[in-house]
This record gives sequence, C-alpha cells and structure tokens, in this order.
Amino acid sequence: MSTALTGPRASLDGDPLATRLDLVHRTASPPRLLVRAVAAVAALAAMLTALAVAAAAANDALDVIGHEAGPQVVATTDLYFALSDADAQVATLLLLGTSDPEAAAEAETRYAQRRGEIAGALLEAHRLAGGDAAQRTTIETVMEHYGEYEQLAAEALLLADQAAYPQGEAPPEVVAAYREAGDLMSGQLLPLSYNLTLENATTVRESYDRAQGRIDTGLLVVAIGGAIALAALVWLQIHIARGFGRVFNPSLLVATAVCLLYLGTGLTVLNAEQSALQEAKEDGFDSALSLARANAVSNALYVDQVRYLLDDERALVYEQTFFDKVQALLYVEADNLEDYREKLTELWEPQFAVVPSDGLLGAGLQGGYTMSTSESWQALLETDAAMRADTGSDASRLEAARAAYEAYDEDLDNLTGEHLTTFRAGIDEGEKAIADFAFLLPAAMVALAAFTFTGIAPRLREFR
Amino acid sequence: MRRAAPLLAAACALPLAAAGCAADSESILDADVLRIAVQTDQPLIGWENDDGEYEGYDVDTARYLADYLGKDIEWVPILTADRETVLLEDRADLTIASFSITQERKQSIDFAGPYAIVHQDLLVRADDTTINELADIEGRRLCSTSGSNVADRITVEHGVSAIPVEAADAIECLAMLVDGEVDVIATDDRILAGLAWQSGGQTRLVGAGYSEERLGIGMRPGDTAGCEAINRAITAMYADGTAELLMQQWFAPAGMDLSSIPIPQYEGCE
Repeated sequence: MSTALTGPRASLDGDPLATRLDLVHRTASPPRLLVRAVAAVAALAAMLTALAVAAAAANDALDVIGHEAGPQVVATTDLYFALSDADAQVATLLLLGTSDPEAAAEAETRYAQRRGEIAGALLEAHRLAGGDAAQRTTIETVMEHYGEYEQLAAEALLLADQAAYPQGEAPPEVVAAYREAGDLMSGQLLPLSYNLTLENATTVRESYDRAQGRIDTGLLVVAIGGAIALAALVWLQIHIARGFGRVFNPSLLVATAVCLLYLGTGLTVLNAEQSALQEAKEDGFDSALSLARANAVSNALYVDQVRYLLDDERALVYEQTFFDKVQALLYVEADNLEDYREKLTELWEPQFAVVPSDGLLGAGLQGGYTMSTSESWQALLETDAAMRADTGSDASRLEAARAAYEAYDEDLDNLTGEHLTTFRAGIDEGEKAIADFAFLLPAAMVALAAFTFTGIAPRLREFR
Repeated sequence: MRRAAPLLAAACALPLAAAGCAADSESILDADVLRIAVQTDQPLIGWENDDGEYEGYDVDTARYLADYLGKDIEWVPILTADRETVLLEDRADLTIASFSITQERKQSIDFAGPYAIVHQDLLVRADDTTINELADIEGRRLCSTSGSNVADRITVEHGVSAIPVEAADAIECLAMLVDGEVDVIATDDRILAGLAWQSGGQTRLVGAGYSEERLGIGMRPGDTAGCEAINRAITAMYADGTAELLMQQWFAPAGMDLSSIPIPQYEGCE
C-alpha cells in the first residue's frame, strides 16, 4: 500500500493540490468504486447466507432428533414394553391357575394397567406419526391386531377360569388358546412396534447425515465467501487509498473487522454445532435408542421365561429364544446359557473388569454406568439357571424369576433415564447455541452493508 | 477423530477432489446391479430348475427386494458353506440363502432383515416312528450340510448328542436319508418341507419345532443406509401381501402349516 502512495506523490510539482486531484482521480470513478463495494457486500451476503443455511440445517436435524423421530422412538418402545408386559401378565395368570391368588390378583391389576398404557401409547404414536402415512397405517394395524389379542387373551383366561386348575397344570385347550394369543403378540404386534422404533431411528440417521453434509458444505462456502469478502474489502481500501489518497477509511476498517469476526465466529459456531449435533446423535440418541430397545427386548426375555414354564411342548423353543435374546442384549461368545454365565463370570472377575460392548445393553454400560445393571443382569441369569434346574412348584419358580427380572428392570430403567437426560440436554444446548447465533446474523449483514457503503459515500461525494 | 472430519469433508466438497474421497462409504445403493448369492440345492427355496433358471422363495424374495430398490440382479450360485465367504471375498453383495442371524455371525458380517421366521425341525424316513421329538435323535445319525451350525447347536445348546454326518448339500442329505445311510436331517422347516416334497412321500416332517430361527440377508459390514433400505423393502413385502403370497405359493403344496405367518422383527442396522 505504501509504495502505491509514494509513487504519485513523489512526482508532484507545480500546483500541488491541482496535480494531486488530477492524479488521484485518474484511477478512481464512481462506477469503479461501486463495483468494488458491491462485490464486497455480495461476498459478505454469500458468506452470511451460507452460515444461515448451515445453521438452519443443524436446527432442522436437532428438531427431527429432539422433537419428532426422537420422541417417536420413545413412544414406540413404550408401546412395545406395555404390549409385551401385558402378555407376560396373561401368561402368568394362566400359569398360576387357582394357586397363589395374591400373585394372580397382582398380575390382573398389572394387566389392566398395561392395557391403559397401550391405549395411551398407541394414541401418542399415532399423533407423533403426523403426516407419515406409512407409519399411521402400521399403527392402525397394531390397533386392529391388539383388539384381536385382547379377545384371544380373554378367551384363554375364561377357559382357565372354567377349568380351575392348580399352578403349572394348564389343560391343553388353555395352552392352545394362549398360543394363539401369544403368537399374535410375538408374530405381529411386537415386531410391528419394534420395526416402527427402528424406522424412526432411520429417519433420525438420515436427517443427521443430511445436516452433517450441509454443515460441511456450509463450512467450505463460509470460508471461501469470507476470504472473498475480505479480499474485496481490502481491494476497496487499496482503491480508495490510491484513488483518493486516504490511507485508512474508518467505516471500511470496521466492516473488515466485523467480517473477520463473523468469519471466525461463524466457522467456530458451525464447528461447535457439528460437534453438538454429533454428541446429541451418537452419545445421546444412539445409546438412549439401544437402551430403549434393550428395555423392550428384556421384557420379551422375561415373557420367554413365563412361556417356558407354561408351555411344555414348546419349552425348548422358549429356552432357545431366551438365549438368543441374552446374546442380543450383551454379547459374549458362548455355546449355551451355562457357558454364557461362566464366560461372563470370568470377564467380570474382578469387579466388571471387562464389560462387553456388543449388544443393546453393551453400549449403555460403557463409561461409569456399569455397576448396578451389570450386577442385576448377572443375578437374573443365575436365577434363570436355578429356575430351569428347579423341580419345585411353578409358582415359586416364577416368583424368583420375576423378582430378579423386576430388580434388573428397575436398574435398566434408571440407566435409560440417565442416558435420556444426556440426550435431551444435548438437544437443548445445540438449539440454544443456534438460536443465539441466528439472531445475530441479520443484524451483522445490515451492519456490514451499512459500514461498507458509509465507507465509500464521502468518496462518491467528491465527484459531485 | 471427528475433529479432522469437517476439513476433510470440506475438501471432498470441491468437485475436483471428490473423486478421491468416496473410498470407505461403499453402499449397495450406489450400484446398478446387485450380486445376490442364493442357494442352488434347496427345492422350493433356492433351486435351479430344468430350464436352468433359479427359483424358490428366497429367489423370489431377492427379485422383490432388487425390484423395490430399482436394481438389476447378477445371481451368484452358492452352497451353505459359502454364505459368509462370498461376502467377505467381495464376490456377492447380498446373501439370501436360509441364513440364520446369530450374534456370532454378526461379529464378521451384517444382517438386514430377518425376512422370514422359521423353526428348526427334523425330517425322517416316512416309516420311521421312533423319532418324534428332538431328544429321540440321541445316538442317531444326523445329516446336515457343511457350513450350517445345526448339528453343533443340537449338541451344545440342547445337549442331545447325535452322530453328525456332513454332506455338501441338502439333496445329498436327502439321498442318504432315503437310502438309510443317515436317520434324520435337521434344518429349518421350509427346507425340510421342500425336501419332503422332493422325496415324493418317502420322508416325513416330524414337527418337533425345537428352535426359532430368524433368516436374515447377509451383507458386508458398515452399509447402514443399504441395510435400512432393505428393511424398508421387506416391510413393503409384508405390507402388500407379497410375503404371504410367496409362502402360500411355494410351501402350501408341500403341506406346511401356514395359518399364522409371523412378521419379522428387525435386527436393526448398526
């Protein structure tokens, strides 16, 4: 800049002012000045637009994760849980027969409670499905099938009432009636609701990937737009310095500084937004999702135990599906249940030395969450072994299994709650950051344009 | 690790650099042709007919899914033993071949689906009345195809020790059963229904249903979007009635009980 200025000045002689004016105005003209100013403002606009678009994409993704598909994941797993647990109560009632009226009364109360929850969860899921026709149809199918299930369950319970048998001696027609209900539950109702959960997880992933892509592009456009805007502002400054002999233009300096500030802040905020989004998705949503699924599968696991006791003919199948679910929840390479328990004991000696990360439960147990859920998981498996080996009454075998399941379920609920809190906090934080930033964007654009044009206005006036 | 990603992605967004950045995110959704591995030794499921065409339930499922995804098919004929290796050696994109989802298999490959829920059952000679449940095969000669985990699981999961005999394919097992070289074949009930149908009344399905199997679609690991797209296609296949139609078409003539066809509960795509 300095050489450009000393050049014309060094050659001054005669009337200094006239020559100077003559010299400076030779390179400067209003159109040239305007072209440079407009270029600078256009580049600034491009940069700020890119910032706004990327921030909006992040906001959309947070919205989908936090307020649409995310809650739907919770609603559909609640539905799954209520359905599965209602089925557990029906199977329990049929298993107990006329023995243990106290436990039977409790199961009956719980069955009634779950039925209410199912109705609520169905309505909630239907509401959250919004305009998604496929999801609404699926939920309506679940509603229909659930009506059938209630009817079949009522028939089985009625047959049981009429037969009035002691625990574990359900007559074949009762078992057959229950099978029909149970098959409808495991073969239609539960898969439909589970797949709805997964479908919403897919929606979350898609909008997350889309947002990350847009933010990546946004970062690039902001960087390039910012660089061009800065270059244009400097170009304008040089032009004014050369053409009008003024080294510094305060307005343009302010505009340049604000541009630099926004470029820096914009890149930082987008980067932070990307991390916040990633955290909400990967640390928050993903682990909350797999724990919600773990909750659902764990209840189905307990149902397999009840069915194992109820239906002797299919006992082998229910033992195998139990093992399958155990592996899906927390994977340890093992040949059978006994082998699994031994391997797990080895891994957890001393005190949960190695926590397997594979399986729906595995992810949620990592990092500080291990203790109580792991303990109750191990206890559940030990109780299961005892239940299968035990030759005592079905009521007492079931009692032990249920107590172990309930203890485990409570720990799992707490664990899920902790992860859900992390998830919601992540969403709130991300949304707040964007809201603050988005508010300042239009103001910045107006200010930058104003500073640029007030910077050139006095120079334009020289031509009048 | 994610720290460097925005910059990398930013670099990838430049058209000139884009060519070098597609490396590790390979999805079946990007290909026009899907290489689908199907069995060729299972009547009614995966089978080469007299005209040299593949047919059966799994083959029709493959056709439906490819059509739903808008892809052409290049068939890769395989036997049970190849189901995992064709994927790992990149000779096929999908395996649709009576492939049970197990946590153990999931350590090396991914599964979409399941696309069908079946039960393990037993096939015996029609005149053999000594085998009526799983426990009855203790000490008997049990045929299964190599690469299947059936015999192993009967021994270690259910504690029934039969004498394992391995054959290359299901048809060979059937021939051995009919000839009296083995006493029982164990595998999923669809396959057994096909074999029983093939044997023309010389064999009998026991109906012991001792285990529930979820048949999945094998994929190379890491293709989450591809796996989710296949699950959506399976959802459509069940919702529009195709799944039931195919079950009826292939297995009703073989005398399978199709009164309730369960909807598969997806494994989930990681």
